[in-house]
Amino acid sequence: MDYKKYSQILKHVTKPGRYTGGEIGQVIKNKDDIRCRFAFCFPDTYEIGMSNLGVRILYGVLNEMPDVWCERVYAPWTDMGEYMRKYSISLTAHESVDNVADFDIVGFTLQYELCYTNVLYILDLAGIPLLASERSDDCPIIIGGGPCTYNAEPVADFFDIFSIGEGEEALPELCRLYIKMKSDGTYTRSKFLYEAATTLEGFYVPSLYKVEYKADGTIKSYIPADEKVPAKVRKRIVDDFDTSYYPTKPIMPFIETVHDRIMLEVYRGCIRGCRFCQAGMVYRPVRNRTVATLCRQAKELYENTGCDEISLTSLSISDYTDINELTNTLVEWSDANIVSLSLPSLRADSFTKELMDKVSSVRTSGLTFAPEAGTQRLRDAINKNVCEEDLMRAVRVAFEAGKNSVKLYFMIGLPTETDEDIIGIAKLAKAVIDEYYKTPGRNKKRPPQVTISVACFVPKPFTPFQWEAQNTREELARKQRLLGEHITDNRIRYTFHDSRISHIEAVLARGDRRLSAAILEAYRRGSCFDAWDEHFDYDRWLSVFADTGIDVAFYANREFGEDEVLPWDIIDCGVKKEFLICERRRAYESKPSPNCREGCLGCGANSLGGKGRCCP
Amino acid sequence: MNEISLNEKKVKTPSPLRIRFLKTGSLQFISHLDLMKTMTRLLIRSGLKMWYSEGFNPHPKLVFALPLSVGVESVCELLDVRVYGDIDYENLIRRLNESSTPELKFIEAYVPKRKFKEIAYARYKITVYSQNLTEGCADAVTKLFRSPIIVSKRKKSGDHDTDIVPFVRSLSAKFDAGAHELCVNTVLSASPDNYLNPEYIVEAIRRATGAPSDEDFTPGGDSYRILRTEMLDSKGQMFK
Repeated sequence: MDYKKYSQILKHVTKPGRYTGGEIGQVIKNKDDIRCRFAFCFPDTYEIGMSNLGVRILYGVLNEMPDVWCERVYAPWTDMGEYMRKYSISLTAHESVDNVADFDIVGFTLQYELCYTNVLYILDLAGIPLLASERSDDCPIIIGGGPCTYNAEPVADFFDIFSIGEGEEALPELCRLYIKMKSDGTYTRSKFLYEAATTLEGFYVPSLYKVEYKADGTIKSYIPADEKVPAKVRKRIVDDFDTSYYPTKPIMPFIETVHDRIMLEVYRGCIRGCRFCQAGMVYRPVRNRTVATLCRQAKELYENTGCDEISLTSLSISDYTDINELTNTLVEWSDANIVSLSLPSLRADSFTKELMDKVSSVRTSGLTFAPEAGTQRLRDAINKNVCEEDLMRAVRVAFEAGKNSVKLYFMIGLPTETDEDIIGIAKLAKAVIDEYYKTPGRNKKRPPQVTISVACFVPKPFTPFQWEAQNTREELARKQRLLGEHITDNRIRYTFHDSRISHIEAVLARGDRRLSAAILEAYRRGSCFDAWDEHFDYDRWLSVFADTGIDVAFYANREFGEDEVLPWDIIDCGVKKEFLICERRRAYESKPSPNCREGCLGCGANSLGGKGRCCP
Repeated sequence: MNEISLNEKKVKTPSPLRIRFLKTGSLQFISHLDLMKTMTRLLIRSGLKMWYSEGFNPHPKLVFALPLSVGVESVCELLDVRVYGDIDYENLIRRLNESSTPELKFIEAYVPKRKFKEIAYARYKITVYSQNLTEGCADAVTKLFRSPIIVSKRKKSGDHDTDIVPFVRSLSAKFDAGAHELCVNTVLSASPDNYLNPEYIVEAIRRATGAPSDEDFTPGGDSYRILRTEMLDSKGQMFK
């Protein structure tokens, strides 16, 4: 935002540093050299968007192209949004302060379902028609990417095109096509979209498919516009992850952001295959970066940012094959430079004293584990593969080292769950307290504290639990109360997620195209920043669904048929449906499955290729 | 980069270093806390061998002379840090500026001779732009400061009605009718116990002239700018 023009407004909004831009490391280009201008929107606040690794990578990849200029856009907080409406100020991109509506391509990363209304908020503030069908040739191309595009159907009406899977190679290809068609004069909006869908891989254009429904409301079929339009859109992965582009000169935000640290992306995918987890399925196959590459990137990042904390990013860091070599090398180097190492996503079964010492070598950080379920039976059913002994050993290591507090993540409403499993959560938390008193070298200065944070299960596309019904809100509330009644120890702190939010999330996660009308109506009635408790309005969502003819239970609380055409069947994420069904059967038998390194289950992701993947 | 190890650093004694910098333009919207974080990182990137605090959370200790409020620009900010070894001042300033932005610009570095607690006043240039300003507005402002100006001043113990005039060492006003700009030059108390936020002067100007509006923020309409130009000691001499 142009601070000179809007300085009076900036003096009256919260965190004006969100809007000024001008950060160290932002990319400024000469417009004369540019043939494709790309606005990369993160549909939430600046502080959250600036922390996103995917945006950092793609911002860098696109700006590596000399004739493409990628800029950033964030959702202005509601106070700024009101001023913008009051004074008719159009939304602008951070770097150039040019109107978003004047860009060639406007991309959105869809990280969570509750950001959908913010997509409309951004389009609206930019003055771009909300519906793809209402956009003329002069409007920018609106593209979506990120995890939610594995089922993008609920927002299909708002997007011209989706990029499925990893975008590092796909987005430059799309820009090349755009530049080519613009320069040879063949560009029209519809021709471009058709070319992208039929000549490039990994692009889904919803308008090229007609959806037919059965009388019972389920999908009958997806009909492609012609035989050249792919029947299924296959997700993209980068061919060689180790050598693929990684940003080592990131933008340094002036104001505090959610994750303000150096992030090293250690590997992609996850060997575990927890049956509720979408990330564990859609990011397959597992591909590592080498220790040498990671250490070089860490040094470059430190020299370029001066940031004193390095976070090792992955879905489960202790599953990295060379974790000891990596942490040893980093600790050796980072201690001298007074850089601290943080390891999020630690698994209890691979947490060791050696690993913890490295993490706390410079600064102390809290310890969090995710057993996810309260009993071994249910942990086997969800394939979490962590046993109580693992957890007890892990917390003992922590207590011996003088820690007093441990945080545990759980989920309720999981398939096959009984009341015994719920009560098991309380028992497990108590067992951790008992373990503290059994640990000889414990820190006696303060009493122990165990925090249990309990989320509600949301069935997600491309997981073995994708067909499962979500518990009703009443049932989730009953389980939350039941658990509360069994927690009698005041050294256990109990927090749980709002089941109303999880309910709407379930509708949006498994929805089809008919939901677009409801999301548009919710936005028109004021829904925005739904991921923020203070803005989330459950009753408004329910009344919108009722008024737009959407049966909430049909999407959230119904068990989908295995022979049913699912809204996301149009996407091929590598993992086959037969594999998911097989895993679902094993869940019902409470049988865990081996992880990718113990034995390949033939999920199908190896067909995507990828150098150095862990599977055959 | 920092070849010197933590242990080596403990052996040597750190010496103080003062850095003068300016914080202008969009950087006025960056809070003091956020500035400290950015400054720490810029100093690390410059390769400066800094003294780190000991304990669980080692960090270089930065001391700022007079933290700026959000919305105030400055061309005279001072910062002290403790460093090891001989410093090539010009080279340091060059490296800092290479990794910074023009709105956070480093001017000079030197060994401090005076302590920050000697700072008693700060000089500000306040510019108000408004189409509604008329001839005589400068006189109205200076006249207003001849008698007490009671504002609600925020203190730790809550809001208190306070007369700001005793905190004003000097004030002059000049109106440029062609540019629709009223320029107020003022020296305000800036000692730790008697710091006056220059926003109160804007509030007083508004009482005297009706501008700048605090309701209508139409782009291109009323606006104001506060620029800190100098820090002064108790005798009114420039502090460096």
